[in-house]
Amino acid sequence: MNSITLLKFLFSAPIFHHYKVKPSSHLIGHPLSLRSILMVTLLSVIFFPIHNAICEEQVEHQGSPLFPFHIAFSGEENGYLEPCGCSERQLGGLPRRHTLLSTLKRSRENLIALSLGDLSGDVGRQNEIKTEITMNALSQMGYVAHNIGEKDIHMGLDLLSSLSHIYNLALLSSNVTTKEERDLSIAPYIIKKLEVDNSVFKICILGILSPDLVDEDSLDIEVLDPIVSLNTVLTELRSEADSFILLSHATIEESIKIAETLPVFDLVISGHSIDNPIHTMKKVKDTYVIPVGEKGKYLGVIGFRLKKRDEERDGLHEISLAKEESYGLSDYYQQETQQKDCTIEIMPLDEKYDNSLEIDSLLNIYQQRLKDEELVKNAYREPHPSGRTFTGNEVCSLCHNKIFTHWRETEHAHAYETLVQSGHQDDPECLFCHTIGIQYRSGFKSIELTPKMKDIGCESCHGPGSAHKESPEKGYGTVAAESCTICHEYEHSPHFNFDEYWQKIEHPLRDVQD
Amino acid sequence: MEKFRLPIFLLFLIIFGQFFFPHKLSVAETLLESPLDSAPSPQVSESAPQVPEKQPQISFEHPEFDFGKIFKGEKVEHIYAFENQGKGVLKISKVKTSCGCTAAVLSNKTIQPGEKGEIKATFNSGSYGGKIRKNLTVFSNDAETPQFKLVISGEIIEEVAINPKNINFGSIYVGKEIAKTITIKSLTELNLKIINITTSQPFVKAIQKEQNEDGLLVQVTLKDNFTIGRFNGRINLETNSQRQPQVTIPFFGEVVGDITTYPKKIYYGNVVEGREVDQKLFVKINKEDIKILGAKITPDFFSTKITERYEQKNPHCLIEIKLHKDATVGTLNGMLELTTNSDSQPLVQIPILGEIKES
Repeated sequence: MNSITLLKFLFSAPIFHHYKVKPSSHLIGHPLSLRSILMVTLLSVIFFPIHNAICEEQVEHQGSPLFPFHIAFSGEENGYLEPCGCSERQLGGLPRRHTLLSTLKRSRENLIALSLGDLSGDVGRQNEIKTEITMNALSQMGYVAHNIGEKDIHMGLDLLSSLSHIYNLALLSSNVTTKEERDLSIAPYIIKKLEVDNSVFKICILGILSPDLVDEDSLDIEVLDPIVSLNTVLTELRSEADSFILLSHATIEESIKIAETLPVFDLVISGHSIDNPIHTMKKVKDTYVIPVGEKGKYLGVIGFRLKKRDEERDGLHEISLAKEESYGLSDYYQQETQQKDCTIEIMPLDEKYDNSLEIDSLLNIYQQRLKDEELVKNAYREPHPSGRTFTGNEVCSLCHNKIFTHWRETEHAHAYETLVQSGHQDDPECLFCHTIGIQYRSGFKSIELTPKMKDIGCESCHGPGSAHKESPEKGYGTVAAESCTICHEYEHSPHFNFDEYWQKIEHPLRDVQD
Repeated sequence: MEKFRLPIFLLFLIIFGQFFFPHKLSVAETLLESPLDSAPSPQVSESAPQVPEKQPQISFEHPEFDFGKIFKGEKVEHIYAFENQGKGVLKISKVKTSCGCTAAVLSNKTIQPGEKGEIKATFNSGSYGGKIRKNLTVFSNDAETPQFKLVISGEIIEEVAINPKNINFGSIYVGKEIAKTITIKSLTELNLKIINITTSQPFVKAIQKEQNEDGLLVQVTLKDNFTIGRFNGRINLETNSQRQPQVTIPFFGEVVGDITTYPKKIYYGNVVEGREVDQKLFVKINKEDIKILGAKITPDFFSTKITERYEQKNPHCLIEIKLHKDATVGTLNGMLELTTNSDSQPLVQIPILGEIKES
């Protein structure tokens, strides 16, 4: 029987005929014909290799079960605790992230959350409180480690070290050391053990900070060459762990260079000042280099699946580093196909994630602390560079009553009230754009001391009016459209368009009562 | 013979299905639970796209722009020219910039096939320094690239460069004096001069020292601060630079006694009645032979326990403060008092604040 004859014979088997539903009793007790059995057997023989060819790795998995683990990552918080609510569709916020991570922990097996570095964006008392609140929040979310960023160094590693004890969040850096002998409780690496079916899998997490990001003579901290430091640590560790993850607080270019030089890493979490991580992911040989984005607006999750090795090593039943590439990931990078089942997920923290009650409560404590420490009242204020002082809206209204009356109907006139409603009236950062001249000695100090300096008043745009009040001179009050963008910048006013927004506050150019 | 068709078919399905179903099912489960579906699609193209005849196609000849070097505070403008190379009308819904530092203005929201358009981007270096790389995203009805990424990058040079940018005095034992040096130099040909120096705190003085090859030197000295706790302030420099006539250098640190606690106050926030909540207090010992002799906490629905104690390199202890279930509804106004063998700090008080709400 030649092959064509065989195929004809087989394809005339009943299963290829038009199928009609029969009563179930007809299905019982009928022997199968030889031809039908041969057909099924042959089809199986044909489909098996085809299936293997298509899904080679899947067949491999059936012989040895896969061990999945997930790395969730964020960083460069830069003191951004929550969307302030100034505009719709603002991304980010610790309360949303907590909700998302809680959900992910239920669906992503063996999830390890890591922080790239930079808790606060600046120094100063408000940022110290933010650092503490953020560290507390990361701890509540179950983060395993926080890598040291240059802004963390600016904040002071003494403070961070003390806080890490309270909040049980490990500080990590493989290349930041102290010049003097001090114990800052910074680990050069962390090994996270995961146990599945009596097997132990070790994931080694390392962290570096780019020396280029740190001031040359920065205190008593020394930032060593990342590759030299990593090599030193890895020399001891190569046989101690099964997977290596690097938190690289550096530019994406520098992180790629590290990935090229040290291919041991399965994942390099990176990026510095990259706002949208989706655009900047790279794959360097077998290493994924993925940025975190700025201000914690995104949460990244990458899934790995590892094959279990059935051999004893050092008396332990280990899982080898037989890493499974995620579905369609290569295609994703080549931008050939749009793979929805790719296991790199960059999730923007938008409105669909509710705020977690626990972190909301923490942010209420944050506001309470700002109030208790009277940060607004105690802030350093300098004289206005012009030498003039702020007078308040009512003084302006003496001559410009029509404009004043019109202003009272605008949203600018209720700017302070919006802060009271949202509970942010003691937050210096918010008050900067909701009061008059808070950074100057004659500007807003507190609602009790300077009630006339609340809201966005005449002098918020036109500048201090003391000299104009004394001798109204030509030229005072001229405002460039650009000055609006001090407050109406993208973060807080993404839809700002001068022509459109001017309509909302437009008033006569001159309104002097003779 | 027809009687055998169903069982044979079922048998085939069973054998066949064994190879395919387990994996497919696991993928399906992943997808069901994945929040990725709701995330915005990255800039990826469909494989072998079947572009309809009247499909628009946005095309930028130069989607990346490197402005080279600019001075801090300067702005740079650039026009990204694009063309609709498709056969349908291109509609741009928005141009999104990735930070407040970049503004974008679109010439026309609707571009006919073959026509050109422009996006004018303005980057304000503001407070940035060093190398930057920012994105603009163009959202359009181009099905192949609904989000087109543009890049603006470059380096921002400071005419007045300060090193270090902040002064961290660290932990200073009460009454001790400490001095730090700031180096100030110009990265341009400017003959930099400091016109005036002021500080925001009386216990911090700043004076200009002699110049060396690195630049101008300012010595900042902390002296006579006897208030235990964290402090912050700033040094203001007036310079002859027209680009940066005023430069601010923040300083901060902590004046410590024999014992330092973190936090200084314990905040419980709003706690629902009947819940048990733990907080921790880190107590750092700054002087040899100092010991915590006892801890007293009020009211009695609080308790304390030392959970960690190290005596060697970094002497400290960790105290767990437990709010018990029997706390009564109302304002929490507690106090933890640590008694020590320190002469200067025999009693350290840590207020406890919060509110117990009805369940």
